[in-house]
Amino acid sequence: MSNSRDATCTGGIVTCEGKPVQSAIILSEGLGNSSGVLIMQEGKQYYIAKTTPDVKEIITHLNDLIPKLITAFTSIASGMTGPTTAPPPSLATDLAALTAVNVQLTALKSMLK
Amino acid sequence: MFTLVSWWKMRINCDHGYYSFFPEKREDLALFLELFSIELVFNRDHYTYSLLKDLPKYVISPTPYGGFLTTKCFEGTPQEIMKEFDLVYDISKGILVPTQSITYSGRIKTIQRNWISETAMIQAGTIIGTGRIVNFDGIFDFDLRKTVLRYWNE
Repeated sequence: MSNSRDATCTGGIVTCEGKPVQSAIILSEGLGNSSGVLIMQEGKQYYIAKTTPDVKEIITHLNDLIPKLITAFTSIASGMTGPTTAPPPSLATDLAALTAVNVQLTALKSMLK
Repeated sequence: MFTLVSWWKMRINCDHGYYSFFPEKREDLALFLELFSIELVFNRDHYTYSLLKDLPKYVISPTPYGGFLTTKCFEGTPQEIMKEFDLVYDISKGILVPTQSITYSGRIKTIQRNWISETAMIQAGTIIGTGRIVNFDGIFDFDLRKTVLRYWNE
């Protein structure tokens, strides 16, 4: 038998019914704040975070990243019509946009629920 | 022929201080409640004390569980939780107490291969010899005003 209750995780501490459950084993990364479920089975407690917000955020970043990559490569490709090796004028802007997305993904990695 | 168990009887089960009463007839229950001036509530297939019926099947510490402040989280039936925290129902106080806090001493007599309690109601945790009676199952005999035990252990 087991029993499950709504719970939250803040700063790596699982809280259920207003009380911290120090003994809870967090089955996900547990780095970011989350809501989820505390499953109790005899003397053991497991916390399962709702991780779909992480997935949604990753997809959002990918949605943001891919058009930027397309834009950057299109600009590069447009200049590859002759012997010139000069980068397209928009390259610096495109790289900055890609770097910004990379920063967001790095930040997300350190805050996975 | 002498018989230990009268017509008026009721099965009592005690699982680590959780009391379950199984009257065969309504009259038995009514007589029992009147005899001990107690109230019992129906819980699935048995009668028990209202506090025991309402005990949750989990505890998130620190939380009072039946009046006792628990020190860790645990999930299970009330009997399993009481066993984990070594608690028994105190009949006189109406709350859960540590087994070790029961200071009553009693005796179990052996008559015709039956174990018979010295008192009408057996308090779980009662000291019997060098041990304590924590689990038992028996028949309360209204004539004897005693419980004839089928088994008992610590």
